Amino acid sequence: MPLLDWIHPDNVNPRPSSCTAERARIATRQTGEPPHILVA
Amino acid sequence: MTRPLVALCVALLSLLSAASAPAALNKCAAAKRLCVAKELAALLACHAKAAKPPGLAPGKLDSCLQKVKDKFDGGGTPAKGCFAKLEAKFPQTCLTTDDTAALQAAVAAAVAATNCALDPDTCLPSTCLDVRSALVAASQGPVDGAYTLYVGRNPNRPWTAYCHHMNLSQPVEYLTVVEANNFSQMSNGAVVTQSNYRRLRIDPATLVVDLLDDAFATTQSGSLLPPAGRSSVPAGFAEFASPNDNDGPAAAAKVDLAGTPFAFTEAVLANDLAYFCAATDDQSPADGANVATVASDLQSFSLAAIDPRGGHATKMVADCPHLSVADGAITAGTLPLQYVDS
Repeated sequence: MPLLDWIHPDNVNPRPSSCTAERARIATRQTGEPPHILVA
Repeated sequence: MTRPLVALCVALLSLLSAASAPAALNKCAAAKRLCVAKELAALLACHAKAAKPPGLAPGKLDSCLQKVKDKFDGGGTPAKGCFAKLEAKFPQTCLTTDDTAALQAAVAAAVAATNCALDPDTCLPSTCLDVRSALVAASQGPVDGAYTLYVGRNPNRPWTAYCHHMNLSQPVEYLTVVEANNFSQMSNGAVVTQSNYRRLRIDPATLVVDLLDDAFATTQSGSLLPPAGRSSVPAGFAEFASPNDNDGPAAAAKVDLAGTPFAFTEAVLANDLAYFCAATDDQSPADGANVATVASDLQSFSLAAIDPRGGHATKMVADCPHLSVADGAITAGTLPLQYVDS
């Protein structure tokens, strides 16, 4: 089965290259105050 | 003391007492107290008329209540409201402004609590059992569906519950959410097992969500099976386990309360989001791409779990103490909510 058929639309982005990239991607989806983020 | 009486005492105390702190000497604030006292007394007088035999004609109670409310808030002319007139009379000196609605809500809560304490049949429903009892008393068949409940029987805190098992003696409450935005995944790097939740089990008294209740979840099964003993991937749970190195994308999970009057309590933010955590199958540090993100309005959170090492598993979960344990040991999972007053 094609990979993307199983992936939720919120998760079709490629795996982030770094934590910084992931933070930036999440932040740009938010409006107003920045979200609270926990990075393992 | 009965529960309605306790609620009444709490409501009246919150409305009328300023505890031990002495009141400031302020003519505006003093006069506002009189506005509140008059409205409370007048509203209770309306209900007293309605309760005294032979009662009021249909519609008379509503018109009595409306007349009192209009006098307090000015009705169609806010400037004629009791508070507004005082704020105009004492410019720059009132301790508070624009608080008509807030105090009117407090009065409404006190009136409702008084009625409930004096006549249990007038209590607003706080549980599906309350609704069921009322329906049975009215000789109506209790059926599963959406009903308006009130947190703490407070008229200012309504919410729409889905009442399940209404044909049983202990019906249960669910909070309807947007199914597409409430999901949990377990990924092996190629295919995903995903559970979508269209309703979350919520305790109407404590407002705690049971992350393991899957009565209204739908699961598409991939290669990874839900945690042992469970038929669904728990809400607030994402797990990634691939046989290969450096593949993805991450397994995701999301809980989104948009469209409901609830948000997570601030407890989920405490200690640098310690409510969430990533856990690996060998206790090694989790990859930095494991992320939990809580929206600033506390109405949604997203999880991403990934393990770049082939043959290992990592999960990113809510309710860390309960959901980060070995899959077979998961027996509980909770998410605390609060009512967001509009």
